[in-house]
Amino acid sequence: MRIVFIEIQNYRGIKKLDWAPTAHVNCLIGPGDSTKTTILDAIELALNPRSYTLADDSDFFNLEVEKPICITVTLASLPTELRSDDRYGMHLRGWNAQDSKVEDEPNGNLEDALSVRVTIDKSLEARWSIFNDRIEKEGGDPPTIRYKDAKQMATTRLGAYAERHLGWGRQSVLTRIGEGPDSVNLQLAEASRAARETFRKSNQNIFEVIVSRIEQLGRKFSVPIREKYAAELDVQGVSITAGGISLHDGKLPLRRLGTGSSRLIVSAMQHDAGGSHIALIDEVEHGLEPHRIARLLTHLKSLDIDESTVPPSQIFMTTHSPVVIHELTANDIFTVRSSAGVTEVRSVAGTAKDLDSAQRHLRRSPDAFLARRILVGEGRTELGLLRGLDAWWSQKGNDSFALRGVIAINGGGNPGALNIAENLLDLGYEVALLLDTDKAFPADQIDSVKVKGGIIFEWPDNCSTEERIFLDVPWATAVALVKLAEDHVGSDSVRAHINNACKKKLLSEISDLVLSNSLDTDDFRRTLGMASKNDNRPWFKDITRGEWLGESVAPCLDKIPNKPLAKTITSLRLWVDA
Amino acid sequence: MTNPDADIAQLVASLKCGSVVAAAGCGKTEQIARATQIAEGRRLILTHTHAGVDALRTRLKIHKVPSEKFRIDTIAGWCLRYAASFPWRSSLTYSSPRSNEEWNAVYEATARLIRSDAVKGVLMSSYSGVFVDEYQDCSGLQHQVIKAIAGYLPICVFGDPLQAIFDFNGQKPVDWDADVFPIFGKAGELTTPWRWSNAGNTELANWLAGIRLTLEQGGNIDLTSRPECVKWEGLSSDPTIRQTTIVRTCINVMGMANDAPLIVIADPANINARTSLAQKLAKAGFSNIEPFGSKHLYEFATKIDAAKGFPRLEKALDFICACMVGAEKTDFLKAVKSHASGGKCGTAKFGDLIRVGIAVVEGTAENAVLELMQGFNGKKTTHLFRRELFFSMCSALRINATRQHDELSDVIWDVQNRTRHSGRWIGKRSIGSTLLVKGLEFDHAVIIHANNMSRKDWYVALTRATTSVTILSPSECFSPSA
Repeated sequence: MRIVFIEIQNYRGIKKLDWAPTAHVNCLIGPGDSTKTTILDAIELALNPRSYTLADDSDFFNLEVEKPICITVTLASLPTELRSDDRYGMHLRGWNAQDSKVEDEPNGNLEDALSVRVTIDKSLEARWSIFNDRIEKEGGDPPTIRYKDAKQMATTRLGAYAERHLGWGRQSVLTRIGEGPDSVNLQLAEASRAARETFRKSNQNIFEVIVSRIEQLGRKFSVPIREKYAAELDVQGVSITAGGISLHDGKLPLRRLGTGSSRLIVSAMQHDAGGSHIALIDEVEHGLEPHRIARLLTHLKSLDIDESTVPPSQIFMTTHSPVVIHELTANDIFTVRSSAGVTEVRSVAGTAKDLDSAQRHLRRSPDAFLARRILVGEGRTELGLLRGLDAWWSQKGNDSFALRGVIAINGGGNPGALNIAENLLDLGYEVALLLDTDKAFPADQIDSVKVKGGIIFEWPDNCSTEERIFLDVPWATAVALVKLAEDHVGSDSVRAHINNACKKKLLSEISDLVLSNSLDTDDFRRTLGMASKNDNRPWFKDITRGEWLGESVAPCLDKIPNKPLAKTITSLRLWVDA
Repeated sequence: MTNPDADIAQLVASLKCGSVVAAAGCGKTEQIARATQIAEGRRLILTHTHAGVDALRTRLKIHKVPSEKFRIDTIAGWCLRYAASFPWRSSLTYSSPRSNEEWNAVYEATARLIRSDAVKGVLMSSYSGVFVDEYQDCSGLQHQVIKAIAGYLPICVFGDPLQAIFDFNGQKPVDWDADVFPIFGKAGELTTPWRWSNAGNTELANWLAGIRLTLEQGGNIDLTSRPECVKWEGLSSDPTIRQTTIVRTCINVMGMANDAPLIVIADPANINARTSLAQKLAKAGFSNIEPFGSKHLYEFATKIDAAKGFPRLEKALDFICACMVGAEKTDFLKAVKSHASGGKCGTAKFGDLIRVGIAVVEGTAENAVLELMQGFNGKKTTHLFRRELFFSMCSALRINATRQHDELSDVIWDVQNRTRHSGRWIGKRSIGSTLLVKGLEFDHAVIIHANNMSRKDWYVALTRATTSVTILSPSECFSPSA
């Protein structure tokens, strides 16, 4: 069974959500309060009917208890017995995968589907039923889900802490693996008897005085004594229940394993016990090192236990880890955005130009997908510059990018930067770009980004970033930057490239790197910019050196407030602070 | 005892698509039950009437077939359930059909629904195959539904072309040679007459087997060499002598039958002739079997409904006299008139009934007509010969009293519909047509020759009794109508 459509109304942070998840992995990402976990909770609530519910007023959106909570989950890949006309056959609906739409009745070109609905009104009582428009139109009590069938629909959940599954407690997955509970119960009863026997044989001296005293008192008051009083373990007092039994490694209880290990083993147990089912996983990376995250994800995606032929489970998970994003494919990842209660879930693959570029964006900038606002630097130089600026600003006591929910990423040049920006905009992120202008981007794509709400920062006069910097910074800073380049690519290379550029500009070449004030002309500054971008050994085309660039430029911005460099960076900072 | 039909159930259980022709009394229900037991999975078993559903259910219970192995329903009920559950795909707009036209629309909707593939998943998840009983009674539209199901599930239909008789006003049933065999090829035939062998009457069993062959081949019915349990009386062409002979024969057979169930099968097209015979035999306890959805009942109800004052009483008595002998309408009306004007006429004969009659005229008591009917029926001097008609009217009046504003004629529809579904009670001495008695069993049968009786009518008529058959016809050898 798998979920094809989810509709949520008035549940916690979600006023309304309609979403068609994929058949296999659905990894939900998004900033805090984007209602990722609420989606998992809603699925769990809808598919696990029980006789009691623990809803309270805070489960209602905005605490508006007059508006009932309503969660409808539509399932497909239904087992034969559920589709039979004496079960739910007459209530089937049709899943139109092409249009991601539930049609109220099945049809030859649709997949048979069944909708399960849970509603909670202000009485706080949850009601589970089969739902479709026909039942709704008919009025009266909707058909309910039989206990046996509900068990088939039940989800498993891997929460933050998994210890309860490592003992034979009531809701433990252990009780669903292997033989039924009967043999367990017999074993427990025998253990209980053995305990009483052992106690009887143990040293009873400590109880003797008390016991014989009671016996005396009894005789005194003519209480008949059948045999002889003795201290025994009470049959009722020391019943050994399944809850007291847990998995051990040697003598060490498995629950003493680290969080990550417990979760790994429990996840494996759940999939072994549940066969193909719907699994919910909170913070999949919780407690795991990157390599173990990778292992867990591989396991979840292939479910290779015993090379079984069970069809893959449908998995819903949340994450805040770039490692998880890096390990998954674009098809698996969905961004969750909530605005005024309306939650939208969008597929990374579905919004990208094509699967390849979506995949590239995820692999190159996994962390971008975890932030709310993204500053795309066109290339490594721009990213470095932005990072350098961020470092300087934080030092000075301004809010860091992170604090403002902003992350700076490398756009990968022209036209890659626009592609990823567009993809991110489509997914609901706020995006700004810092672009070079020496090589123009396609105008229509620039427009498209702007229409989608992207903000573009670029240098005037068709300059590259390096050229703009060398044009605008105070001469001393320009000299310092050349010195920095010298330290990293070598004096000879630096001088050679400056002279190369001078030749092109028809300027006289320099003999050494002692740059006197007399060289401070626009033409020479432009020459430095050109030289820094040389293809052979560029000075700043690398994130670390880009950062130095930023850190060098930032302190002098105050001195050149009217230069284009400072103006552009100031407006960029305004966006960050917005 | 070895069972020559033993392989049939096995064959049917694994059949992909086919038909089994079953002569009357040859254990069709038994074979369906056995096949259901040995077949894989859950079978859908469809038939036409609720009585048929009950018979199948009882037989399955005898064989201890677990209930999860089958679902039994009438074709009508099953179709309505499917078509109404998916109104969008079936385009069926109502869920409680009344008229024949509306029912036909249900069948069309169901066939459309199934052909559209919409319920393919449901059908294939629900059943491993389908058995349809009494296939000769399927209408063309019902046949379309079964044909559509055959696209997804193995199907075996059971029936007897020689018992395919139908109401002259209703729909023509499916034609075996043209419609059934080309789709559901003949896979087997049930020919062992279990009904008569089990009753120890092999003589009749053998004679009927011969008659079946003759009828199938288009031969004449020849009663010259008949076994002892088959009797013959000649019928005169003089209507008076004819009627006397019929009444005398019925009384004689009744004497022979003692208290065992007896059926008189008469002119299939003439209900009035049957009614007048019932009237003549009323004192001997005979009663008419009414057709479903009797027009007579509806007509009487409309007339009673429309009349006020004295005419209302007259219409009520018209109905009473149509159902029983000994009511003495003229005397009663005279008595009521007399009492209304202070007289005492008829007090001794009608007693308290006169007061009820006045209540009907004055329209004071709600249920006066019902009380009047029951009063007449309670009199020792009256004898009912149209029990079903009479009691249906009683039910309708009773229901009408609890429902405000409803026309009596509307309630009639509900009552008749309920009878249709809950099945009918057939008296020990009944008079009916072949259409009304098909599928029923009696100990003794009296068959009155009518020119319009076809081979199929004759086959159905001759196979109704297990002990004796008495035939009244102009000659011992005759040819059925085409």
